[in-house]
Amino acid sequence: MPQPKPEIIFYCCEWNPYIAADNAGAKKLQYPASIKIMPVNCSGRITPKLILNAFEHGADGVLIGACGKGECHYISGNKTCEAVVRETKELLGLSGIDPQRLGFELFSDISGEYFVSVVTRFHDKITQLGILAQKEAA
Amino acid sequence: MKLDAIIEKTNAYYCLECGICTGSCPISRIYPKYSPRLFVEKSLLISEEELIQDNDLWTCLTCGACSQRCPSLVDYQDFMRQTRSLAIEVDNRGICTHAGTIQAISHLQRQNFVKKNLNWLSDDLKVAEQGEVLFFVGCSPYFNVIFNDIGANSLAATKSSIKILNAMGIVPAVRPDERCCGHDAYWTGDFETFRILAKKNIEMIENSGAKKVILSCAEGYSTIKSLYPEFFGKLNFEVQHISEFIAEKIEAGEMKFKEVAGKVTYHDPCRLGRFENVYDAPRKVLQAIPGLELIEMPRNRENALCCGSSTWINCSQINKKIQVERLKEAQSTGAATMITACPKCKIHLSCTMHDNGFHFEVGIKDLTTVVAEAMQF
Repeated sequence: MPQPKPEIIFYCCEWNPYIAADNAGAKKLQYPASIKIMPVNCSGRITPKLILNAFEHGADGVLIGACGKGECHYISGNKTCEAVVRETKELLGLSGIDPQRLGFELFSDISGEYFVSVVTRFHDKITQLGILAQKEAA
Repeated sequence: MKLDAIIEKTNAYYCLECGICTGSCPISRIYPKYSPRLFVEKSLLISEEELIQDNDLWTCLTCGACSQRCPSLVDYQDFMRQTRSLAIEVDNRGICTHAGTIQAISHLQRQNFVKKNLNWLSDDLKVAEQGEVLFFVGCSPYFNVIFNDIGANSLAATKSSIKILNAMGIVPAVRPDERCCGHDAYWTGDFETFRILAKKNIEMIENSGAKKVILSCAEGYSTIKSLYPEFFGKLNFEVQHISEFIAEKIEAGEMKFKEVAGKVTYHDPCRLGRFENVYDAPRKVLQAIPGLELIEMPRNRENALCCGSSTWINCSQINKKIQVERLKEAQSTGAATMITACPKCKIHLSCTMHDNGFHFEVGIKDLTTVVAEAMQF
């Protein structure tokens, strides 16, 4: 039986990270098909609920892309997001979900190559951690 | 359940329009547009479709002050809860506070893969996987993370409770497969989620071999004790609030306290007081500590004012004003500390204490923390 592929939700800020994703598309670069991109207006909009709901509905990993330090289009959204990620990691840990399944990445580099390297790295990590429902129920 | 059936079940049709409910409602005093009496009347006069679109459905605190005094025995809480279950079908859900994080945590626990991490347990606390007595932890480890910024320190009560149990020679079972008790799901009308969580919890308690379940949370206590049997029939275990357990041990002469000087006042949580009629046990515990003087607030026992917010829905200026009123009432007694037996009361009142522009002379502590500090081994 083929190994089930992990599902990864990528909450992607519309500015730097999404420009990078767009660039990857324009350059026709390949990246893992398990990455599902969900654009958001700003990474500061992401709440613990969005992350926890993704895990509840079958995500094996959640990646969050924010703009680089000092580059947030709305001044401090990326800082807010960082605090939310820190808190959510603790909440995930309490529920027995490996906090490594939640990734946070700053995008100063808006090239498609950088985008592909980030998502591939995260995909490999999640593949290594395994499918959530199988792994942590055991 | 359809609206007609709800009206029948909750005695709403017997409403005399006397208005005692509205006079008792902590919300109506501050926000006169909301009135329990009017809401019941509306249910009889307007159509179901119109009623379940009303946002005031989510303003009710379900504190029980109105039903306590209703001469026609209208069960307003049940009425609200059942109407809410109709409202969520048309996506009228109220505004979740804290960006819906707490609801999301509860929903996540419906999944089988969730296995709780007990790494918050410190080395001095002895717990086991199996045991005669099970300690139901509840949401406090999560609250400890979420409400770290207001200094709610929710885990202190949990740790103190385990410490008290250990001191009484009990090594309680604390289980990683424990789930959210489902209190908030039930009171927001999400009976499906409640059923899933409750079923998992009953299985978990039965697997642990426990004959008695002890909780330090008033809401969890009321949920497991009264609501689980309502849905799943008689339970094979006894449910006890930690204050009842301590009062029992004091009566048996097994617990000794050192002298603690100070004045305290006690805030009755709705779920423990009005819902479960546990008024005396916490008071007995506080009175047993030598040197500690218990001063009652003007509104106490069944007349106690709600902490101002419930089920993490619709927290607004109205709720804040109720909390300020309660804290001022506590302050007026001259007590240095307000003691409560519910982690949520503690969070809500601590939140107001930390708000800008307010300064209160009174502090807030959980009952178990006070007992653990005064306990002599």
